[in-house]
Amino acid sequence: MANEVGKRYVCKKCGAEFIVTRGGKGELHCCGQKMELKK
Amino acid sequence: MNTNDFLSIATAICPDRDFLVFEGQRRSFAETNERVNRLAHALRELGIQQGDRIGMLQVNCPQYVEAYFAAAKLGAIFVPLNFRAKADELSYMIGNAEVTILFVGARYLDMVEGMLPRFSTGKDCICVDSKQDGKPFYEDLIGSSSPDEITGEIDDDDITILMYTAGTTGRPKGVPLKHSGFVSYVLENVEPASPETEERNLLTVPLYHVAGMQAMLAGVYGGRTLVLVRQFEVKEWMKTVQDERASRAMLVPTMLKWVIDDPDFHKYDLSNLKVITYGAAPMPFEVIKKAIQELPWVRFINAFGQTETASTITTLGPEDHVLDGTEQEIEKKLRRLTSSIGRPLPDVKVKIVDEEGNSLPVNGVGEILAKGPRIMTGYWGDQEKTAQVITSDGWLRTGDKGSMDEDGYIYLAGRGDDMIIRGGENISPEEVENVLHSHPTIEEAAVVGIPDPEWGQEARAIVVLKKGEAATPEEIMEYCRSRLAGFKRPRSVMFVDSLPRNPMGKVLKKELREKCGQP
Repeated sequence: MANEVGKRYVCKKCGAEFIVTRGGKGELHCCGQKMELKK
Repeated sequence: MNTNDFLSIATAICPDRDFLVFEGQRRSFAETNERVNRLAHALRELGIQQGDRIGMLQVNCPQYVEAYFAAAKLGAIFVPLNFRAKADELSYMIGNAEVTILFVGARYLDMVEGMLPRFSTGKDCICVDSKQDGKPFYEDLIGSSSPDEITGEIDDDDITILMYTAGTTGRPKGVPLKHSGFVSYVLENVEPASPETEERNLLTVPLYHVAGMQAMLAGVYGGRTLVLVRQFEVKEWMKTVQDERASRAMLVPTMLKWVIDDPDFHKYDLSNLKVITYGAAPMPFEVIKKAIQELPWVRFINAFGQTETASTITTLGPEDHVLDGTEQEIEKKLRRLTSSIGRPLPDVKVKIVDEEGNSLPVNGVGEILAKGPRIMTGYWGDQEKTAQVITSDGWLRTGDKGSMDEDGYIYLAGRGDDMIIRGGENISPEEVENVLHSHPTIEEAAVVGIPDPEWGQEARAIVVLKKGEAATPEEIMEYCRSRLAGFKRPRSVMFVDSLPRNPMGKVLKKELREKCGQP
């Protein structure tokens, strides 16, 4: 699943980080672009 | 978001990290999450539904944490019970909460069956730590249930914990605490779990106390390893800090004093400790001063709150425990260390009001009120007591007296019902106690008001001397004379072997007044 609980995403533009608390099919976007999975 | 998410998020981020460590046994986040699911299935099979109350009467142990999350997964309400409460208090709390299922440690079983015969038969009493005839056993329930992820329809404003707080008069009061309150706290104050950060939190504060529960939940959200001990014992605490390389701990002032005064204190390697949070009772200045000297690498945090506020609402942070800066700054910090509980946390509003409820100016002494998403909406089934503490516009009356300085720091001036009023002037017992604690022969002291025909009340010092020391009442009163305004100094001194305290170390002033408060 694209967005699973606990996955962390980061915006390469502004540096904001998100943790997924509920999984879903959608894509996370920030600053007009797709967020990257933080490894 | 609700507290179930704390465990599921941490499990997703660091599944193989040690989560619960207890007497040599270690379980990871993933292992614990599976056990929680199994227990939740078992409870569902036993008929537990959303809103049902599940009680726990046991010392700190991994099952305590597991049972909480199993209840949370079902939307049931967890009722942690004080294992030191007297039988009739326990019976009252269990009845008042209408507990459906009770988890019990073996040592408490006879007492429970004696006072509540309904728990002698049937499946509603589960033994936590050993098999008992005729009773379901915790590990059997886990072993025989499905490990599949289980979720209920949880609303963030649902009650997750019903915690009883002892009042100074009458019965314990049930405080309903919501998921949203704990979520508000962690989102503002705790870094979420991260694969890059590992912290090890030593949990000795009992989980039936809101400070213990808050520390546990914050630890879960933060992906911290929780090292549990049954009950606090000084040498075991120091050994556990050393052996488990604990980086965080929470202590009540009495515990901290015992640690730094222990003759073997310097034999243990406590160098991994980074943060000590203290609270639940006033901290004597001499104790924190010595602690800062003995543990200079540790960041200290004074946390103030109540059950009714879902724990911490103000903190005096690490920077306030470092005595550096200009002379003026150091003086300010010393004053704050002596009697400040710090500044409100970001999700809390605090104000100081007079008896009519009007906000007081800077440094005005009045009652401390608090407001925010973590404040309880009312006592369990007790509208009368609720109306006494929640104002019509949603502020909680804490019952503590205090003032706020120009920088927003709050200073305690004692419990409203402990304040001494002499000839119309207020005497804060804490202020006098701080002076007494600085006397070289005094181990600990408490101050109460005693009736006086002329002044209404006078302050009396009740003193425990250090071993081997001697002092007379006159010497102690003279010591106070030079350090306190005339009307504040104690007019009598009584020597005792020990002060009555609750399990959290708070002096029981009501009991002291009854024993030592006659003219």
